[in-house]
Order: sequence, then C-alpha cells, then structure tokens
Amino acid sequence: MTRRSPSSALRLHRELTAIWATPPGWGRLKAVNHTTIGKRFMLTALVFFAIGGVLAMLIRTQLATTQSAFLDAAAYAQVFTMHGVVMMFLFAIPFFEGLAMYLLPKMLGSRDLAFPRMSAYGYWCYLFGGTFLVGALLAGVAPAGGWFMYTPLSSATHAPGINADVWLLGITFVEISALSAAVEVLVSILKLRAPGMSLTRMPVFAWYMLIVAGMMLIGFPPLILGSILLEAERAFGLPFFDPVRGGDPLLWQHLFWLFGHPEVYIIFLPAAGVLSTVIPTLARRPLEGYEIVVAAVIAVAFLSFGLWVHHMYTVGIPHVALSFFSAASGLVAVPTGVQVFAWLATLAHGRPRFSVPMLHVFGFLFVFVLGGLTGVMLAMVPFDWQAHDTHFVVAHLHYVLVGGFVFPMLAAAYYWLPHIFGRQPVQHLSHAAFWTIFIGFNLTFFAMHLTGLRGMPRRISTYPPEAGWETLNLVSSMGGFVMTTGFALVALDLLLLAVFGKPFRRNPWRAGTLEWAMPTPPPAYAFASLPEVPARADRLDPDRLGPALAAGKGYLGATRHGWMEVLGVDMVSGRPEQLVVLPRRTSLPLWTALATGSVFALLLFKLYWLALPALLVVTALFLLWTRDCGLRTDLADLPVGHGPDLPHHYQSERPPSYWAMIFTLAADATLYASLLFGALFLWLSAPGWPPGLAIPLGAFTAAAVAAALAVAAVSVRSADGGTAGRLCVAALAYAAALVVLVAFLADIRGAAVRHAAVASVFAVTSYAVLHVAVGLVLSLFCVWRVGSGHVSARRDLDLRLARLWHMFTLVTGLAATAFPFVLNVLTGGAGP
Amino acid sequence: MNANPFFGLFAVWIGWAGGFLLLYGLQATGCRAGWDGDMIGPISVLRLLLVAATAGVVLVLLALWRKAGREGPASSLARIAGLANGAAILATLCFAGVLWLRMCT
Repeated sequence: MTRRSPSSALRLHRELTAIWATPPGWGRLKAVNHTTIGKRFMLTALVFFAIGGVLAMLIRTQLATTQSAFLDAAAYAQVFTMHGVVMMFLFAIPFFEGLAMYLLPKMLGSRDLAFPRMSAYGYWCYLFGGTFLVGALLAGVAPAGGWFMYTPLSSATHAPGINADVWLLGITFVEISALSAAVEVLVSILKLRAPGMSLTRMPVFAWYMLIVAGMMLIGFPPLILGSILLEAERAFGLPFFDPVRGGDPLLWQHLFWLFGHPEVYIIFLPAAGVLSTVIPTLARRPLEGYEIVVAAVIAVAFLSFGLWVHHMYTVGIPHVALSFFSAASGLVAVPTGVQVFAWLATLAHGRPRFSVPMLHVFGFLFVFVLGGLTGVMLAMVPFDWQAHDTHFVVAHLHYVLVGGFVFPMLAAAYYWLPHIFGRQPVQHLSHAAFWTIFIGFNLTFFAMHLTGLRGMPRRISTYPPEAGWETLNLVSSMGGFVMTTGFALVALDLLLLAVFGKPFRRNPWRAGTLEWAMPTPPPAYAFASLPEVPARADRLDPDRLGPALAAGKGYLGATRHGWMEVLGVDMVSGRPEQLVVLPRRTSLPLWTALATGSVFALLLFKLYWLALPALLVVTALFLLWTRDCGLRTDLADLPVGHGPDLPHHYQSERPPSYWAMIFTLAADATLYASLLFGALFLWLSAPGWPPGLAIPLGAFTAAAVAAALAVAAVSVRSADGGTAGRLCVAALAYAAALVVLVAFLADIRGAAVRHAAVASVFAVTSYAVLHVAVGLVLSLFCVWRVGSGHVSARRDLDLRLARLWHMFTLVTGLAATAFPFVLNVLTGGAGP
Repeated sequence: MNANPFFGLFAVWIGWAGGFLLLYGLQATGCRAGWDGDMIGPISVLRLLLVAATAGVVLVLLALWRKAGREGPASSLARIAGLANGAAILATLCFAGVLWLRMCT
C-alpha cells in the first residue's frame, strides 16, 4: 500500500464520506449505515423503555393500596400486558440489537454489516410494529392476556375483540427485525472481520453475539409459528388450541416457552458480553479465562433450550419429565457462575478504576446474583409449586432482567457514549442517578419477594385489606417511584453528556479493542483502511493503530468506482478470501417495511383479499432490491492493498449471501420442525384423539407434488446455454405443484375446522404452498437474471442461492406430502 | 471454510439437545402407549427403554467427544471445544431421573 501524506489522508476521508455517509434531510430515510441504524435502534428502544416505565408506574399506583379504583380490571389487564410486551419485545431485544449493530463492525475491523439494507428494513419493521402495538394501547384495544398470551384466555371465545390479534400480528411483525438481525449478525461476525482475526482472536463480545444470534435463529421460529397458528384459529377456526376439537392449550405454552426461556438468555448474554468487555478495560487487565468463558457461553446457550418447561411445572407433567427440566434449570447456573467468577477474578487481579460504568457493574453483580439464587430456588419443582404465579416470581424475573440487562446496559451507555458523541461525561448526576436506581429497585422488588411468599398472585388488579399485603405493596410502589426518578436522572445526565461533555482525543478508557481506533464520533465508513490483526482483538493498541489506519495504511486504503468495499474472510482463520461490495443506500427498506406493515394491518382488520395483493407488492419491492446487486461482466481479481488480489464476492464460492441463505433456511427448518412437533404433540396429549373423521390423504396430490418438486430441483444446475430453458421448466413444475396443493387445501378446508388433526394437515400443506410459491418466484427471477446478463459460468451466485431453496423445498415438500399418511397411521388408519 | 472446528465446538451439545428431545418424546410416547404398565420383572418396559436410551445417548456423546477431540491441533479453539464438550457430557446428569422417578404421573 502506498504511504499517504496528511492531505491525501484528508482526501481519502472525503472520498469515503461521500460514498458511505447518509445524506441530510429526506436523505436520512435512505440510511442503511450500521452506525446510523444502530443508534436509531437504541434511541427507539429507549423511547419504548420510557413508555414501559410509565406503564409500570400505573401498575404500582394501582397496587399501592387495597381495593384501589385507579384502574378498572380491564384497563389494568391491558397495562400489565403491555408493560411486559414493551419491555421484552420493544426494549430489551432491540436495544442490544442496536448496540451490536453499532459496535460489531467497529470491533471486528470492518466498515459495515453484511446486509445494511436488511438492517434498515428490520429497523423500520420494528418501529412500525412497535408503534402499532403502542397505538393499540392508546386506542384501548391493546392485548390483555398477559405478555405470554396463554390460550384459551386469548382464544376467540374468551377474547373476541382485536386485542389478541394486535399481539399476534404486531409481535410477528416486530420479530421480522429480530430474525433479520440474527442472520445479519451471524454472517457479519463469521465473514466480515479484519484480516488475521481468527475466531479465537475475536473480541469476546463478538463471541457472545455470535452465540446469541444463533439462539435467536432457533428460538424465534417457534414463537412465530405459535402466533400464526393461534391467529389461524382465531381468524379461520382451525382448532389447534381448542380441546373440544382435538386441540390443546398446552401446545401454545410449549411453543411460547420454547422461545420464551431462551429469550431470557438472549437478553442476558449480550449484557454479559458488555461486561466481559467493560470489566477488563476498567480493571486494566485482560479477561481471566477467555477460553472457559466462551465455553460457558456455549453451554448456557444449549442448556437454555432445555428449560422451557420450568414455566409449566404446574400443568400436570409427569415427574420424570419434570426432572429433565428441573435439572437443566439448576445446571444452567453453573456456566453462568463461571462467567461471574471470571469477572470477579479479573477485578481481583487487576487495578480497577471506580468509574461510573464500574458502579453499574457493581449494581449488576449485586442484583443479578440475587436473582440467580431465587432462580435456582424456582428451578426446584416443590418450591415452584408453592411460589408459582405469585409476586415472588415477578420479583425474581425483575432481579434477573434488570440485574442482568439494565445495569449492564447502563454501564455500556456510560462506557460507549463517549464513542457515540465524542464527549466524556461530566459526572455531576451520574453517582446520584445510580444510587437512586439501585435503592429504588431493591425497595421495589425485595419487598415483592415477601408479598409473593405471603401468597399474592400475579396479575390481580385489587386485593382485600385482610390479605395483609398492603404495607409491602406500598413499599414496592414507593420504591418504584424512587427508581423512576433515578432513570429520569440518568436520562438528564446522558443528555448533559451529549451536549456539554468534555471533548477528548481518542480512547478515553485506554481500551484494547478496535472500536477506539477511529475518530469519535465515528465516521460513516468507520475505518479509512482496514487493520491486520496480529493478536487477540481485545489486546490491541488503538492509539497506535488509529492514525495509521486513518492515513490509509491498512487494507482497502483507497476508493474504487464509488464502491462500498469491505473484506470477506475465512470463517475460522480470518484469512482474506473475497472483496465484498455492499449495496448503496436506498429508501427501498422503508417502502418495503411500509408494505409489509400494510399486510399485517390488513390481516388485523380481516381484509384478506386485499392482503394478498399487498403481499405481492412486498415481493415486488424485495425484487427491486436486486437491481444494484451482482455483475454483468466477469471481473479479474482485485487488489486490496496488501497480500494477493481477491475475487469480487459475486464471483466467490461462499459469499455472505450464501451463508445468509443457509442460516435463513435453518430458521425455516426450525419453524417446520416445530410445526411437526406440534402435530405430534396433539396426537400424543390432546383430548379428542383419534379424530372422529377421516384424515384426507390426497394420494394424487402427494404423487403429483413430489414429481413436480423433483423436476424443479433437478432442473436448476450450473449455468450453461440451456439454463434459461431449464429454469422455465422448474417454474412450470412449481406452478403445477401450486395448483394441485391449493386445490387440496380448498378440498380439506371444511374438515380442517372440525378437528385439529385435519387442521395440522392443512397447516403443513400451507407451509408447502408458501415454499412452492417462493420457489416459483425464484425460478422466474433467475430466468430474468440470466436474460439480463447477470449469470455466467463464473457468476452463478443467483442460481446457487435459488438451488439451496429448491433443495429445501424438495425435502420439506416431500415430508409435507407424506405427513397425512403418517398421521393416518398414528391415529389408527381412519383415513379413506 | 473448514467445517471441522465448528463440529468440534458444537457437536456434543447438539447431541445432548437431540438426546433431550429423544428422551422427552420417548417418555411421552411410552405413557400414551401404556408401556409403563407393561412389566418385565419389577421394572416397567418404559423405564427400561428410557434407561437404555439414556445409556445410548451418553455413549453417542462420548463418541462425539472423542471424535471432536481428534480434530485439528491443540489450538485455543480446540481447548474451547474440549471445555464445551466436557460440559455437555456432564449435562447428561439431567437424565438421571429415569432411574427412579415416576414415569407417567
């Protein structure tokens, strides 16, 4: 790489800014940059946190005294439901998504995430979905069945309005952002790192986020499936959860908690990643036990998927099955404890700075460890049977979530806000704010343990004077208002920091991670050139690296064709293997999210025939995203400043989009497996089985669809002269399969509302219909890409991505055609 | 990309998760089929099946651990994999209840 003079470094800065920066005014709607989107996520999450906090104050006002008339029972039900929904879905997850989006490219030595437009689309879906939910509250039609929406309370019989639909559709809309963020984070961490940054040189925060993103990919599909099935029951009468017609309300609990318990760790682990980053810097010593901490995070991730039934101990599950979940619930404390001891050891061996972030670390340790201990108590079945659905559980979950998420995020805010604003805290209010929150929190929730042990149930709006709960409730309410005052002080303190904080030169904490090797506030392109990482990426010297990178002495220290360039590396070794060219900023994510939102709104208002065209608009808008993707001519390998020339990602064997498709299909497969699990669960456990009606087998449908999918799958091979023709054959095969499947659905529609067995066949077939329809669109898209010159022997990425989908559709489609026959055998052969 | 390091990191835990689902599913299926009432001597068929399945799961996990331990040099990643896999083997303690707890009530 050529050495640059200061003036050429300034020119590089200007050129990169012109390429990467978000334009002002209306141009902001086109933002796709990770710094901008990450900040938007965090700021929006904080607004929702404030809304959730106001709802909490309403709850505490209501419960402060006996027989309170402040809220009636119906309004109270909406308020406590929305408090949980807002805090879990609209604050906690999006806040750490935003933090990860903001930090990861900078910590990994890259310029952006792998799919910036997907980040923007996810943000808009989150904003519109969250607004949709909060708007429902203002309109008095918010969900009122608790944040977990148990059936049958949320079924059409007991919740006839649109309140439950708002939850089911609104949460599914919001979760688009979580799933897109999961794919984004996984691919970005695995593929877009600085050269030389092997997996074990990654900063530990990246390990945490890698594992959390994997958990999201597997954890969210059961929730989305449950929401779809319950909405299908409410809207069309398919009785998945109705015990009178072969359904089972417990199926909802299984699907919800299959998501819901990993969700707790999905929230905690990013915060733990923050602690594993902040504590070593403040202790002036590398993290003790980096390797054992990573292994512990892996163990927590897997164990967290084996605990879901510990929310269901009282539903009548046999002892031996309870023991599996109870033991796993107790065991998860071990790897969590390993991390806590690693942090304590780092502090004990280091020379800690008792700064404001450290105060919040202390708050975390005190509160979270107490919450963990009550968690172990609740993991034990006999104790849980006594405390189930009491305020003891509410106290426990707040100790875990506020201790495990809010205090670490406050530590993160004080630690990284200087990075975001380029100013250091003035600290006039910081200490007072911390102690106000800490004292208020413990007043509120320690007292709540006692209220719970005295038998006060959750979710009641009033209680009689003779219950003896009033004094403790009054203490909790006073504590709640003290805590809120503390959060108001934090907000004021951070505002003062942003406006009046002291400017600084670089790296105020003397950290060893790469995000400090850049100017602050960071430029849109993050690094003017990309670093080579010779050691673990939390032991670097940002003060030395920063100026060299700004002068363009690293990789990609020059601009080319106005391209937004980053490097793609081998997942394990960090060896550079491709030049990834990111798509330019655009308002398409905004329009696509608006169109997606319109689909959900039309479904909410039961305008199904309008929802279908809206879905087509969404599809068309997504196809428009591809206009500036790909190449129309073969390119030679390109110089990147150091080392050998690299291929353009569109011509490489495994570009980021390939891995994104793999991970998307993994999430899709999880949803499908959950659907099949649900059907088998109903066969095993639901009343009213075997069904009193024949299961429709559709032998012709099965044979025709299997043949069509096989034709479609084998029609798409590598690019050659006959590709377009074969793609047309695939499209025709998909169209034929679609017609046959839709006819089968129409045929069994009447029986599907009579029993859950046929409803299960209907759901599995609908899954196949959706995949065949996407396969048809992808085949036609590939025909267009071949015709427009985007495909050659070296540029066959579109075909390879589509082929992954076709193979997946073949496998799941064959399983769907076999499903009625399997169910028929299991139910004793009642079919025709 | 070389897939082996990821196999080493996650294989035993994935096996543990599969074993968990297998045992939970087998217990539920056995209860529905009435295998808890079929006795072989003093032990029910369902308990025998679950004990055998648990032993099978542990053996498979040990085999996976051994295979994962053979992958690659003694690097930092291999040490992390060793720790994670050891934890997965220990986590099979979750299944110990098949030896004495009630099967279907």
